[in-house]
Amino acid sequence: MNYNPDDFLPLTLQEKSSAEIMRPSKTYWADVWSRLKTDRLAMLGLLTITVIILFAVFGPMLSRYSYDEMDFNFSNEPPSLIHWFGCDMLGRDLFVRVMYGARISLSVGILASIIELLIGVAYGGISGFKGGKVDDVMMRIVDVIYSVPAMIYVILLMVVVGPGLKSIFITLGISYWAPMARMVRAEVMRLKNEEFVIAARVTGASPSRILFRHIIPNAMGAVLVTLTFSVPGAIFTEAFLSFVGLGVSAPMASWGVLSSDAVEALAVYPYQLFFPAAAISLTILAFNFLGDGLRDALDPKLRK
Amino acid sequence: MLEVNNLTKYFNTPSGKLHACEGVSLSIAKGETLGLVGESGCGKTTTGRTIIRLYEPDEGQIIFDGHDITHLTQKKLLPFRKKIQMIFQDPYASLNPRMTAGDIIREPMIVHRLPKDEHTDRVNHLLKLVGLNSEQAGRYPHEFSGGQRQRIGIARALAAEPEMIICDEPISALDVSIQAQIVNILEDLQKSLGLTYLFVAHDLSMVRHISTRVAVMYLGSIVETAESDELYTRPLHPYTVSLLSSVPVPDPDKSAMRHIIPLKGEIPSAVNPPSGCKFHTRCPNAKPECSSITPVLQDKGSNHLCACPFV
Amino acid sequence: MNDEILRVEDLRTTFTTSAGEVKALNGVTFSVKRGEVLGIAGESGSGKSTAMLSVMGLTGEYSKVKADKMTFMGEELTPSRVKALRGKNIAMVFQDPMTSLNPVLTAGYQLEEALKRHHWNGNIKERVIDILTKVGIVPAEQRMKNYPHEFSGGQRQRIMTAMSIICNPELLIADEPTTALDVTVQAQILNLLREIRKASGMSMILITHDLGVIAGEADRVIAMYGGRIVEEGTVREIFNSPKHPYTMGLLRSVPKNDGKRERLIPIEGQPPDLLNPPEGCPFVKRCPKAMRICLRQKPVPLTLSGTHKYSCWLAQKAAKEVKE
Repeated sequence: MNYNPDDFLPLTLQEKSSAEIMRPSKTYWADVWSRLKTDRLAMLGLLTITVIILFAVFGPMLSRYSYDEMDFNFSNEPPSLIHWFGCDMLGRDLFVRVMYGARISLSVGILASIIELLIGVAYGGISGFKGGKVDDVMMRIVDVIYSVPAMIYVILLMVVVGPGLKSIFITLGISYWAPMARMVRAEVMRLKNEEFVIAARVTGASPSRILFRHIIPNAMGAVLVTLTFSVPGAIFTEAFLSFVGLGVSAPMASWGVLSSDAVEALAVYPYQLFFPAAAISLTILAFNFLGDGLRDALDPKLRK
Repeated sequence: MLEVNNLTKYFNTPSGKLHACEGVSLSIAKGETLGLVGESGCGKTTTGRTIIRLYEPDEGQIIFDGHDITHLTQKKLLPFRKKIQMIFQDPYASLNPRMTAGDIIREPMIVHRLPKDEHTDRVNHLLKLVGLNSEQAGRYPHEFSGGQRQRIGIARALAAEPEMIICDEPISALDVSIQAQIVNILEDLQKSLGLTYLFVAHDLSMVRHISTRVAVMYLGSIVETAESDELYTRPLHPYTVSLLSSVPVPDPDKSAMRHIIPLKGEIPSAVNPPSGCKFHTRCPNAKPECSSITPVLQDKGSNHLCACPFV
Repeated sequence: MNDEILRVEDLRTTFTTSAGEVKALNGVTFSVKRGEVLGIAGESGSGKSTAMLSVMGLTGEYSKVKADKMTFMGEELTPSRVKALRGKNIAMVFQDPMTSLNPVLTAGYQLEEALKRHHWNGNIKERVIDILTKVGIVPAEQRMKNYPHEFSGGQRQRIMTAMSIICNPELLIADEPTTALDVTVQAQILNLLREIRKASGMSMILITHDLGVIAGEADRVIAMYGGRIVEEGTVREIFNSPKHPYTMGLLRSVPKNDGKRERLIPIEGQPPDLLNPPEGCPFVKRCPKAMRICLRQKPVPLTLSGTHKYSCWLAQKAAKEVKE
């Protein structure tokens, strides 16, 4: 074989480093997002949620009808081009009422998540970080809160505050953060023994610095997943409470109220139940798809 | 520089009191490297972590630079935290995955309130010192290889300008060809910055290479200490003899000639350590009295201490 | 060539990941003779474990395995054939004895299962007691009733070893069998494997990054880097006169421990990026003697003696002429 003698000259440092290929830097969340993007179901869920939120916010503004406008000419009107989802017994446009219901149902879901995020993360974070006796006491309190069924709070609040959105929020606020607190506590317990936390302690970092700079940011992935899965839970709880008559009252409409109203006429006008029920199912399904996708995207074992 | 007397640490476990480290005494002079070797579960990591006050010692004394730091509160300990730093075993677990390399190295400077305008320069300087470049400061740990991560860990340890570094198995998770890089960096830094090391490891041949003195631990206690070459060429304690004979030699000719002295049985539980000399259950030259007398380290000449009265 | 127990030619394995195609093996050729111990040295990402998993058909669903030839005792290794041989004629021991044993079943039960699975004809219980005694788990009759967590790490690795050799395999593939163990336990396990080999004439492939273990156990050594074999030879050829810059560098980077305490000579740079392997020699980025051609063209394997081969452009006459 013949070779060009030039080929056998030593490589200069420059030539050597030209062989070095640096992949572009990616932050952790950008990395998670790029993996989430490849998950079709999760993206479908995210899209559905976005569409539902857009409809909830802008839908009622753009509609010709308002949620409490009655027109007895259209009483129990089946779906048509004028009234896409038909009308209820009082001739109110169901399309606009479902969109309006989305506002209430979604805001219950979102508010419950915010409560869950604030109380749950702080409570679980402190409990797990302090450990020992503090942890014991704090977790027993959670056990107690968790062991009382939500129904009891609602019924008690109904007596004191009366039915309506306020009691639903208070109910969710009292008990809804308990699972989150437990999850965060377990996560903090695990993270505080990680070497990078020990390294921060060796450095002399203060406990609050360790908690907020090192532990919480690393628990956020799991928090986000729990949050995504708990939004549909809150929506469902609200729907259920409204369905049994403990939620918002007329003329306001949540998906639960709409379903409850429709049940009476189920045999004759099934479409009146179908649309709110479909909205509930679709939302819950969408959040679950997104949650599943997030969990997979955050799983470090799948990282390469 | 550092003197540890009779350091003892127990852990409470469901099955009883675990004697992780019992009556450990050692001293390290400035600029020296003390190697602390032993098999898994012998308490070498606990010893390192108790010295740096990650664990509260149950007994004994830790004297750093003439100051007793055994019972200082975390607040009063802060100036000493600056002076004693640590390098960890697992280059993957020891860096916060949500922080950039630069932020990781900057953290000790923030904690110890170094002038803010110097931070960035110092980060760049430290990166260069460990063989990385300043453009890499904005990258996240997962974008580095194991050896590079360990360099970031070293840079973090150096950030607060320490006088002493406890190296807890700093190379055992790395590839052979990378281990030498890290060992060389540690040696260079020791020379240029006058650092003192406590080098905890189970890789006996690397320990011999890097250490001035070596201490051998078995079941929570030090059984032998000596100058590095002295210990490796003239081991006295039967445990050290057996341990050293088991180390594989990367040379087929020498390997064929070496004579392994096997240890019988399994390592006893640290929850219920044997009475007397803890090694008597596995010692090839055990005598009946070994189960009753607790051996202490005795000078066998030229500063070679051994906790066996029969050698 | 009848004493060749395993032969693999031009083995190529790729994995599909979210970041792209990873070429884990780029044409690996090797063979194992009867009764021989083949040591495979290399660092993480060199493909040493992947090569063995590819032979055993255990690389998982996201992989593609291609080879010109794979034979075991002269027989073509088709996927179904491998399945039949696995555990019986070709056995494997892994690094982590903790996860390789089922925690809810007794050691004895798991050993008996292994025998039943491969239709052992003979007294199963006797064989289990016999093999446990051989690996030093005594008294076997009582200890076989223990669960994995009741054994120490070294004992678990001995049970794993017992499980792999219980069917008297012709070939044992040991993937870092002692890496997780302490040196004294490592010495016990290696000694045990040596005795088993002596008694049964079993061949062994020993994968480890510990050069000391290879020097002590192997007859022949393969050095792998970046999914390729860079050098191959008898253990003395490799350790006494290494030719490839990687092998030389690897041997230089471990302390000699002759009391002189010379500065170590590491291999500079980082392990290879398998997503973007260089077109030429995989070692080019870290090679102190890299030349222009190394970047562009894969080196041709050169045979020094019947047993000693290496792939490096430095071996070419042209390289030597330029140097002069």
